[in-house]
Amino acid sequence: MSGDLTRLAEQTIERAGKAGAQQSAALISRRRFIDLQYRDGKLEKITESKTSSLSLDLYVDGRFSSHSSSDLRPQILKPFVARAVAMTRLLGADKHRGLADPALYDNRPTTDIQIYDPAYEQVTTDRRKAIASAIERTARAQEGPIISVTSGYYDALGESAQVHSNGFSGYRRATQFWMGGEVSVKDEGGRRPEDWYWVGGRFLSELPGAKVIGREAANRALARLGQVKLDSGHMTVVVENRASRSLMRHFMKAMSGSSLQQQRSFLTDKLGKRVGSSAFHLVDEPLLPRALGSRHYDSDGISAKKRTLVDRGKLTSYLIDVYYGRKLGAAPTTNGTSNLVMGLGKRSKEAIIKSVKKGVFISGFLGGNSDSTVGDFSHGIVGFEIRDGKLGRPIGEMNITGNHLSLWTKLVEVGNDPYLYSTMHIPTLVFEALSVSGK
Amino acid sequence: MTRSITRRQLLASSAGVSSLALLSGCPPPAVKPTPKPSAPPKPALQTGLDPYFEKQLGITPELIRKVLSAALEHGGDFADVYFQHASRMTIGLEDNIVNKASTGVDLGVGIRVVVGDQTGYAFTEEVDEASMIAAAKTAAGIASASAKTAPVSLTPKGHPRHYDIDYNWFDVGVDRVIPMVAAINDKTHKTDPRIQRVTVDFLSSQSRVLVADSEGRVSSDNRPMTRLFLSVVMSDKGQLQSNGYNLAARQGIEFYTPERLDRLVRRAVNRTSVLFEAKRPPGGELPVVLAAGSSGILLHEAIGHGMEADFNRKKTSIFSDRIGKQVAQRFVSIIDDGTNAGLRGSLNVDDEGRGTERTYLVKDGILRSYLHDRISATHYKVAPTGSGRRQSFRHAPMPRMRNTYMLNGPHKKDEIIASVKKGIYCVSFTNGQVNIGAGDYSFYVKNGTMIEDGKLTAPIKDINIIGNGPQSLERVTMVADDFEMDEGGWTCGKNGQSVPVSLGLPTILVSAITVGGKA
Repeated sequence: MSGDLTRLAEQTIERAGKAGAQQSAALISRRRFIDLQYRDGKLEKITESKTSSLSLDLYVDGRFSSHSSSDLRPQILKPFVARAVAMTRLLGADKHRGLADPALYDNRPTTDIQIYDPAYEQVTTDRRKAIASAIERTARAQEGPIISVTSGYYDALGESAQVHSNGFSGYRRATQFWMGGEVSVKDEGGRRPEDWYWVGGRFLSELPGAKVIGREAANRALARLGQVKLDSGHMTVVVENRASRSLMRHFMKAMSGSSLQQQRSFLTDKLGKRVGSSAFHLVDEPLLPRALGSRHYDSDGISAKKRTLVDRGKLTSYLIDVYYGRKLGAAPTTNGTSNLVMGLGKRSKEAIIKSVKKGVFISGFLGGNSDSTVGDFSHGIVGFEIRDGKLGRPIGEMNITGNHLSLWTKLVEVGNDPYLYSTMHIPTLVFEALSVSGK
Repeated sequence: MTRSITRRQLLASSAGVSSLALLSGCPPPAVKPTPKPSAPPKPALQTGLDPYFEKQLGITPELIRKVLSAALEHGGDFADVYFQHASRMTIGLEDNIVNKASTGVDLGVGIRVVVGDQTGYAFTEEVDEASMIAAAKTAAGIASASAKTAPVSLTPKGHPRHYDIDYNWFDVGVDRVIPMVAAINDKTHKTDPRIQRVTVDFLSSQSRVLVADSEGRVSSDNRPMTRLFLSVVMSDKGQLQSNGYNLAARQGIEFYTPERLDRLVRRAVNRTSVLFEAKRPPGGELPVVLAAGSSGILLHEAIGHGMEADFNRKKTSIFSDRIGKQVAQRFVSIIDDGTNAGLRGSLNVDDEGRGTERTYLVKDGILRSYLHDRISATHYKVAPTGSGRRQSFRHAPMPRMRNTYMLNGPHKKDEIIASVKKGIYCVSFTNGQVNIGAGDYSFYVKNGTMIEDGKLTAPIKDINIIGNGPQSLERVTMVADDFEMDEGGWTCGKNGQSVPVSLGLPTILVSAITVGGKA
């Protein structure tokens, strides 16, 4: 399999060269997947297909463009490449455009990152259905005013070959498995609150069982009965691991070379400076076995390596890709994180909650955004009140509002529970004195 | 280069959560009304069987019949095939150079088999007979009866057109777009000396579709789309601020009139420069006045998603069982419409091949109709509303919004603002989201103004607003007569599928919503 994708990528590069591109990069991907849903006792939907695509980056006379197609027939690709090269010539020249310095391709790690589960080939459609059906059945069997349960199962085998005209060639094959449930319950006043529990990973055997998932989904939804809105105020905010990534994503946007070069980053001139408390420690870890973000190279072809981004509160590295690196006159690091891993604390979520006298526990965000130029953010929240060390009534229709430059200095503790069903392994986070608005 | 999307990203819009995002920045206060929702264009019939598919791709009626027969070989109530050939081009300007462009081609067919409310779906990117028959057999796996297929007789359906199906963006070369993009950049830089960075992103796309089903219906459509996004960064006394404005429509290059492009530049710059003075308001429950135009985001989140019939069929929407009930004051009427001339959410036919229509969600305060696709219409024994949409041939359709807006009411804008002692006036938005069952929704305000003692005072920025859909509808206490359709582009996400939509609203007052801000 690997050979034919790589060959097609090589042929595409060759064709681009003949058509006049001085440099080019081709990525051919192929994926096969099954996606199914159960609802209220029966199979509701099943989708099964194979899909492939080509993407081609062209560098022609100092000009750049990128192209994609799902139609890989040779008789289509040949004119496709020729037209793409001709179009590129019409653009403005930009001296910063070009493939990575080939030295950045060197020392590619060979660590076995285990992103392909050999057990994938033995998974039958009957087994997939049995998993989804068991999640749905277990959730529906929980005690309480459950209206509807939908469960799902998805798996995929993906392969990609990437070839650059200046000497890079990479191939990867990876599996992924996802399963979970969504439950709606009947509340007073016609409200039908919902919640979910989904898990996913590279290896099927690493995921929790269907019954655990079904119970968790139902219990999370049932816990949402009787939602209240609290008074506005400054308070301790505990953000559950599965929700904390939303905040992190907005922080990370300001780390990118494009945000920095375009003057849209609140982290400009912060390198080497304090951006958070000593509990704020972030590492990009590309080589973790079986993790969803693991890789040997990034999409610029740069060899992966572990990199500390925030060292106990101090900003130590930006995320700079090849293009913006040239524009900024800075050495490229990587164009995006692989597994973003946060340094862990000692205590569990439960132990943390026990030590909070009064505050809110956020189990999810509803909307909101952040201005990456200045760091202002405001998000809708869903969760529970915390009173005297215990989770109290469910809360909603409330917002948290602040600025990223002060938010992370208010991070007083992190949990020992990284969220592993994601490329961001962020634990439960505890912030002091955030602005929470409600009544 | 992009890697394949992970399941987790798809789920960001799952669990009864749907989201709406601006193509990136934000849209309008009040200048001049764009398309009037109540005046659809003069209908003209279009062909039901676009010869393009046979000529270019060899899709003959005979082949379609064969694929439909294979899809129903294990029984099933219904099957359809959805052919799509789409192309897209983007052009980007940064640091005064038109220095990036992209193109994309997408070709394939999706095959669906329906048994009751169960769906089997498969697609293939190879539109030869063998690949299509194989996909049809995969989709047929949902059914378990023995074959009972009578041959399908295909009848092409004509439909009124709401945009030009003979337009082709691919007759419009890069050479015609580059000067326009460069001129916008120049003009923007000249507007204000504080401007540091300007980026312009242009997109055009053309999607040809053909839908045929086992009941014999054949329809086709050719859908143009374009958008233009202008972002600016300004610097004042060492402080930086960024914002933008965008335009989008199901139209050709004639959409970009000089007046429209002037407005694009003016609003992008004004909405950025005002941020230097803007503050965060006090947080808590406040009266909220929504400006005419893109404030229609309220309708999309607070009621639109909850009226999509799939959620109601599953009884997971807060609007389940409320048809015929009064949900708002008598002067509130809310429409979801596929027939507006050239709007981003308009469709000649939906993605199940049905003509679109103008559907009242709320008429004179009474909840009137859900938005239906074929499955939900069959379930409720009503006619489909032409709301079955899909992102592409890779996805099965589901009920979706098109252009969602509220009709004019009896009040005046000035009267509404004067009635508020302390509150906020919201002008531009970046994104919104809703939990369908709880009914809680939120949207993010990029630009707005404080209202104090009935007057607009200090500018505000970057706050999230969160409320409950049915409750907010009840709290719409004033509706002005200054309806405006947003001219910017919105993309709605639901269960991992994105579709283009539009929004509109006259100025309205919602008597209380929770506003983010300083505690």
